[in-house]
Amino acid sequence: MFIEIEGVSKQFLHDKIPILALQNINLSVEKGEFICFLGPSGCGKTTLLNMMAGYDKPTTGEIRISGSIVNAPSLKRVTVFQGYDLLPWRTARKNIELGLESLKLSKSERKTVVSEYLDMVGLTDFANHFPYEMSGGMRQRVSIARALATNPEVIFMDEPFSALDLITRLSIQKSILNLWRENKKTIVFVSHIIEEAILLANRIVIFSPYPGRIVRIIDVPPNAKKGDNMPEYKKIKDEIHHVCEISL
Amino acid sequence: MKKTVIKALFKILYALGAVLILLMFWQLVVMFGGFNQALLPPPLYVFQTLGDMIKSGELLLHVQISLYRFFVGYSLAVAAGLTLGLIVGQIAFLSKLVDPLTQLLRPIAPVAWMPFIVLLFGIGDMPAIMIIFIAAFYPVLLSTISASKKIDKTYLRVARTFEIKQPQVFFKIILPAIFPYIANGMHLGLGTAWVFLVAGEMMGVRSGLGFLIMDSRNNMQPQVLLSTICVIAVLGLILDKIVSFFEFRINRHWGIQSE
Ligand SMILES: Nc1ncnc2c1ncn2[C@@H]1O[C@H](COP(=O)(O)OP(=O)(O)OP(=O)(O)O)[C@@H](O)[C@H]1O
Ligand SMILES: [Mg+2]
Repeated sequence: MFIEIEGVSKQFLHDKIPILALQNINLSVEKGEFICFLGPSGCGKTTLLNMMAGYDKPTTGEIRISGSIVNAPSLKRVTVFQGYDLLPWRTARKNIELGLESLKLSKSERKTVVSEYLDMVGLTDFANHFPYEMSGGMRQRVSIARALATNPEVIFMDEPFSALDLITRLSIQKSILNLWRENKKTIVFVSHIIEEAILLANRIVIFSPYPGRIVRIIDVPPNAKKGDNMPEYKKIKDEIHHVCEISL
Repeated sequence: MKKTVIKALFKILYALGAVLILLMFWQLVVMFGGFNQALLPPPLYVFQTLGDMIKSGELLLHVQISLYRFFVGYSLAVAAGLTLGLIVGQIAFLSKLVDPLTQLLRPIAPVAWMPFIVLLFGIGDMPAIMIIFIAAFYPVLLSTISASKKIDKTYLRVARTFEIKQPQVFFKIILPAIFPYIANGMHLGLGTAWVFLVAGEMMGVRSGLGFLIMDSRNNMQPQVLLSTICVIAVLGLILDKIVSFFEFRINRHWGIQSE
């Protein structure tokens, strides 16, 4: 297995009172999977993703990627965060270039890669704009491009589309699906929109709140992605609804 | 767009109004205050004197030398305050040492060091430069230290995400991230230093705006004294506006909301 999560729990202290954010999480992800975490707000999706990406450590249990325990973020596994984390003193182009600067690439190679990803997120015309000159959705797209540009093995995404309008959202969803199909990247994606999860993921992991636990893992058949009039789509959507209702 | 223009116009109008009220008050005190007019000249006479000082070129010389001393002292203070502040801000135990030290030294008025500075450096430009240096140094130092302590966690997380190592973290992330706070410290330092310009030039020099003040007192020329005060005020205002403008641009760029 590529990513292994074994018996992971996470406890936070709030005013010295322990809060169990996650309880006994077990999950294995194969290389090249597109996993979606689905669940209500506060069920620990971000917490789990943060630990998988190496920003935080489990209270108990272990997370391994390629056999070794995750203890720090790495350029091989890049995270796109909920919210904005662009550097305001860099233009869109320079922000996307940030991660590439840590790799051994020539200046012209960097430039080519940046242009490619600017194009992918549809911001070629805004390459030289600073974050304060861009809308929220545009900034989010730069952030996505920045993460993808370093060509990581694993991409963690924490509701990266939440600030985007429907049309931009659809177009970026498509780009990410293409990227996944063509480059066989492993993607772990957090969402709380069922339709989005069905469209993107090959497996959907459903969480219950307080304390966060995995209630079900659902395989998405390829036919379910073909449209909301497919019987597979309706079936899986009903199943998710049903699981969510009984877990509340 | 239109709204902001109107707002700016009103701001200017209010400022002009305030100056006008001040001048009227001055004129009234001259007329009804019962002071000797030779000691408290009316505004118009002061402005005439100011005009003469400008025409003769005398004022320009003093302004030049004052600005020269000011910029040397201020630049040195910024360079020293920044460097020291950045170093201290990065190293926890140093900041614990420097904190009580600055608390101890900062309340000492820069002029209090004057006699000592004259003893060490003699007379000339040096004492004035040193006074300005001391006045500007603390605001720059302290704001740099506090800024590097409270640097936004998001930026550090970005550094971790993309495996940026030292010293690049410092140059690519920390320095630009705290830049607006440093700019604010430089602004504060500029104001404080300008206040002490006059004090720095009151002893040991025979030129500059501070000297002009002392000289006009010794020669009993209150009209020259008041003219010089006006010049100091206006120059201070201009310097402040220039820096404010840059600070505003920087803050907007960095996404910091002010006002
Ligand atoms: N640093 C922290 N300190 C204390 N409690 C925390 C911390 N981070 C998260 N929590 C708690 O852990 C729980 C899970 O939070 P988390 O952010 O993982 O939820 P989420 O599923 O991502 O929610 P959302 O969909 O709203 O983003 C919440 O109850 C939250 O209050
Ligand atoms: Mg979250």
